[in-house]
Amino acid sequence: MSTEVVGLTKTFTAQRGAAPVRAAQGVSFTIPRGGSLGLVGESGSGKSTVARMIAGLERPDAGSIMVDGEDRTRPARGGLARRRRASQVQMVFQDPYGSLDRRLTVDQALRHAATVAGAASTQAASSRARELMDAVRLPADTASKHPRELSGGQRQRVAIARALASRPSLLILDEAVSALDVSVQAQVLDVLHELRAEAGVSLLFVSHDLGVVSRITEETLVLYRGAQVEHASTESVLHDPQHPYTRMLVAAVPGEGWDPDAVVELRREFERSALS
Amino acid sequence: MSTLTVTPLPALQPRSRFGVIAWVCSVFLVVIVVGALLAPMLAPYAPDEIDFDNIWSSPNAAHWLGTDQLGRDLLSRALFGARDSLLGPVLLLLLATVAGLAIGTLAAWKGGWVDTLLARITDVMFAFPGILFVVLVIAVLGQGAATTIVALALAYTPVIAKYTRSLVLAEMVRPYVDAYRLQGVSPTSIAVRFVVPNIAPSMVGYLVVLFGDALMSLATLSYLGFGSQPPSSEWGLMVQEGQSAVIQGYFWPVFVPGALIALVVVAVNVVGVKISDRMNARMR
Repeated sequence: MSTEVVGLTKTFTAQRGAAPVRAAQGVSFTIPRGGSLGLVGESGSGKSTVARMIAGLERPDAGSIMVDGEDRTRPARGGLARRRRASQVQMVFQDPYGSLDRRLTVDQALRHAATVAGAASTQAASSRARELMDAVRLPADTASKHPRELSGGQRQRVAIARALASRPSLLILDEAVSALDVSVQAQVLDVLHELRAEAGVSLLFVSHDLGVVSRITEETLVLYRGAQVEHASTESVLHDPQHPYTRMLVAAVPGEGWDPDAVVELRREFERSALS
Repeated sequence: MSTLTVTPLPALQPRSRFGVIAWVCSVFLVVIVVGALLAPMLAPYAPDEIDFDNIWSSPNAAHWLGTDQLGRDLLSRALFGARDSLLGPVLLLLLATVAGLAIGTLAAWKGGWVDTLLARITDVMFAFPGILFVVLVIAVLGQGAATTIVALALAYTPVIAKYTRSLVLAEMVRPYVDAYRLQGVSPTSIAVRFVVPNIAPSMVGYLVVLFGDALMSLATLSYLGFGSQPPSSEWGLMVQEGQSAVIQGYFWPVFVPGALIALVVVAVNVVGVKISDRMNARMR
């Protein structure tokens, strides 16, 4: 069971007279079961829109999205269809606080998620909630806490645990570690590595940060203004970028020999080439 | 020997501290509510007990708050009147909140024609003097306490609906709503079970402000003769009946109900804002 996206297209028309924004122009890719793809680009490149379309939160103008053999371009009708869709794709959002219901404790949120995902009894839901907390390595004493009492990393792990409740085939992470500091990022990335190994879940990892993407994905797709400018193994994107835009993104990754002036220079070069 | 005294910085008081004024207001409201509930036991006289030997008397040992133009005890009348005066706003806000929450949530959630219809109705209501609308409804339904409450509930419903709509719209863009959607929770369930409870603190704060407003509107309508009718001693009606006293130079028959209306409105606002702040602080 894999994820197949073909020719995904979406254009937003904000106000009368304003130029339409092309958030996606024929984006296509495949993620095999247990595989992972990084979706990289700057703000406004359309990567979040692509992610939301695959999740079913946004309707594409054209193209098809097949997950587990079901076409997800049309909204689900009825409770059964909604639950089936839920077991295909789940998403973790950027804002670790806003994505949790602030009235519910960790335990309440996870038990609710387990119940919606089809836990047969309250006991089953409770044990599933504990299982999910273990899976993302949340300490047991966080169960009775509200989101406001948790750290950013803990909140994000709750969001991941909740997303896993329906045992999705594909987990989308939309800038899910971008708001976390580096050491906490590493913890969350570790959790994601384990989940891939143990649960066989595929990952679509959306980020502006090529450095983070390279630590978790095998393949990387680079988006610029809704168009895919490069799609290759993460290895080769990092070490042998073909497109000038990708070269600039690679140069922007902090690390040894990082030179901000070079990034600016590469951007100019890219913009010249984009104009011609 | 020199001692170094370290004065710790005063801890920032969170907004949830209740405060002396809020406590005084709470106690006052409890006293008024208990007084209204136990009026038959607490009132020294029957509210309609006429005593022509003691008209327009100032506060004294026999009549703690004085008497009116028929010699009726103002304290007893105020206590019995508190029932109509307080129950009215509660009932009308209850009606208006149930209707307003449902319409406002539906308008925000569904958009489309429901939203357009609500916008048109509120536009008309806001352009129309509220009291005139209520008098119009009373003209159709007939006067009396019950119709006044229904009429005011109708007037408040679009106000509450509009506020609900704005709160729900702000709540809907929060990612947790998307998360519920992805889990497969039905839209109705998301709206009713998760979004509405999340806007409750803001709603409570708003309803408190409206309560003061509603209490005064009801008193005004009674004063004008549309609402509660004699022998009720609803506070607005007491003010109206006391007018003759003011002309004669006796202010107690007007001062007692007038002061009660003002104090209750202030106290409800103070306490309500505190409660709303607390609910908000607990959610943040």
